[in-house]
Amino acid sequence: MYRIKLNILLISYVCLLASSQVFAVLDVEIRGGFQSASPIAIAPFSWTQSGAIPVDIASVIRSDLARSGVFSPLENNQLPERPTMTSSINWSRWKSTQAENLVVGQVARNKQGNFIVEFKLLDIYTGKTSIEYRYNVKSKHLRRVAHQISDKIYQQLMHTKGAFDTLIAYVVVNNNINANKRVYTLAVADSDGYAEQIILRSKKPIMSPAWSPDGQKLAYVSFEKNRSVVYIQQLKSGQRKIVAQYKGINSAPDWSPDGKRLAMTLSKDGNSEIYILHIASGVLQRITNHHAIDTAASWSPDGRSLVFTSDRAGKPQIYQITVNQQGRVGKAKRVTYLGSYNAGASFSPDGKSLILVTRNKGGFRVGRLDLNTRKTQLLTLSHLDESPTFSPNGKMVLYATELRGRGILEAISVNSNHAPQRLRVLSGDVREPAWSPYRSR
Amino acid sequence: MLNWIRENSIAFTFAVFFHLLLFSLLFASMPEDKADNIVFKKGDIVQVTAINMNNYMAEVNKIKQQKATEKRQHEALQRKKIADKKKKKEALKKAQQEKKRKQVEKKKAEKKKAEAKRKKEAKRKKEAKRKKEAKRKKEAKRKKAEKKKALEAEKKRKIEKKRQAEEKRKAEKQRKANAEHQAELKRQSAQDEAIREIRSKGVVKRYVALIQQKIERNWRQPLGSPKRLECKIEIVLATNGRVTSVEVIKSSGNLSFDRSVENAVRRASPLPVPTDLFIFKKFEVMRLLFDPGRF
Repeated sequence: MYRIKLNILLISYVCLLASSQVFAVLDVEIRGGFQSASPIAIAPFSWTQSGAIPVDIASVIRSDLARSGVFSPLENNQLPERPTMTSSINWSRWKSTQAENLVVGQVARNKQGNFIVEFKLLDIYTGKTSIEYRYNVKSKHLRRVAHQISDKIYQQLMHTKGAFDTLIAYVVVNNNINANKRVYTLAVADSDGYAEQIILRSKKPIMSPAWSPDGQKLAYVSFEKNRSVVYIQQLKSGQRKIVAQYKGINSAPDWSPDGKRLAMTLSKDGNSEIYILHIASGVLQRITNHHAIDTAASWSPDGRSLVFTSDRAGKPQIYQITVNQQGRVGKAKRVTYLGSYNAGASFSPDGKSLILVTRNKGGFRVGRLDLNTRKTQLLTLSHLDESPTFSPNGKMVLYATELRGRGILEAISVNSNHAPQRLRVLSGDVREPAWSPYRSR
Repeated sequence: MLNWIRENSIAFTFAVFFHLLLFSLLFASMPEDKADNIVFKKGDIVQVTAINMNNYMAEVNKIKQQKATEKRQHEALQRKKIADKKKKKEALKKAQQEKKRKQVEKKKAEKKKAEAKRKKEAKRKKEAKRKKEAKRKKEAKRKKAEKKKALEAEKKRKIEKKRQAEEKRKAEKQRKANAEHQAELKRQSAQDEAIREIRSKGVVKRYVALIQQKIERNWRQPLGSPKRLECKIEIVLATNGRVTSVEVIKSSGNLSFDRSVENAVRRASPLPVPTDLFIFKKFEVMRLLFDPGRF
């Protein structure tokens, strides 16, 4: 709990002097309070059939909401009772807990073998049902249903679309000590790191996965040909194609919001510069032309400009350059001035801020630059944080960091300084996460 | 005048007759005077002289006789004339005397009349004076009576006034006494009220602080909500401090934040409230302004 202010504060009342016979409304001011994650209780979903429940849905929801940073779900042992969809609830017992909301649900299997999942979100103070949903899914989709329920709850209580039912792409490096060989894996998983699927495995480095706006494709860099090549791969079919294999560096692909263009860093003309590839036509347009290194371009949500990293001022800093519909390119403008190192920026979905890696007190941290105030808020406190990526609702940031010399993924809420939520610790060294767009159903 | 004529008719008739005679005499004598003038013309006398001397003496005697006759006649006439004149003069004198007398008489009559008139006037005046005097006297009497009456009335009025004043004074005294009593009561009750007020003010203050503390302790805002939000709610409390109603009066515009405000109150329920029902009245309906403040 992040208590913002311990003391209270101003008292103001009016009408106190009025005689006791006179009816007057007492005006009282409440100042302070504190910001904290909303306590919520998620009762285990009831399961009356034989055998174990395939997916502990309540547990998935609990973990989702906790990871968002804005909820603090009660542990099962903190629940005063285990209500179900139909049981009567002893509200006074629930009121004595910290929880403001209660989720109850049940899972049942029908004759077709499908799972019927139902849940209710209840307001503990009013005892009223806020929302209620029912799903009919196959076993393999139970986890996704759990994420969808998390989204519903998040939406209901935060008035913002949830981003739990999304995917993340990342690269895992496994060191085979015996063979003294490394194995690189490009993988996609649920936003909580579960349900991992392998997209590509290679003995050569794989880098910079980037989601297409429709969430159907990934662009990435693979060194499988002993040099950097940019691929676009269909996730469902696994089909892929090379989009850049020029001499020198082919790296850092990023999809334009309309999905028709790909910004990349190429050094085919001798120096590391930003280019835009018109995917359908294969036409390449050079955007930057500077003797310094220009790289890591990222599209603005309106598709009219790019931010990129350049050391043209001596140290890596973020620049912005406009690219209009006709392909006319503006002049690069420097965006960051504070700190000796600002790199790898990308836009928030609302276009109002940038997430980037900034050097602070000797460490590389994730910072959020407000484009209006030009102030950078540090989101992380560890030393080697990299590759920050926004959730599609802009409320969370996923990034790679190191834990005892090994790369892991952490998520943090953009609004708070709460402790980062570590994603499931996978085997190997995890790097370069990329958060998918919203998924279509 | 007419009266006078009537009264002296004989005199008047005589006077009229005398006058008429006088006038007729005056006019009848006139032609005779003419003949006298012709007689004395010289020419005639000259022509006569040319006649014969024999006859002359006769004629002169005759003429002398004639002339003597004529002289006598003339003298008689003259005497008559003088007598007439004298008579006339006497008549005139008599008339004048008569006239004078009449005038005197008239004057006398007039005087008498004037005297009578004067007397009458005097009498009238006297009468008027008398009347006036009587009237004056009467008026004076009346006035006196009136005055007396007025005096009496005044006296009466004064007495009445005095009586009323007395009554009024008494009433006023009573009123004052009552008012003082009331004021005293009021003072006492005001004192009591003030004591209660001070006590209640203290109580209210204390409970407001307790309520603020309890709600503030329970006011968990969503992570990342802006610091400049403000939300106003109205709550209704039961006598045991239980929050029976929460209504957002002025939304912050951020639904999650509004919700946190509602929840803060609900979570803080029951709120600490004074047991004194009079003081509790102030807490029955409260408006709470939630403001995280800038920090």
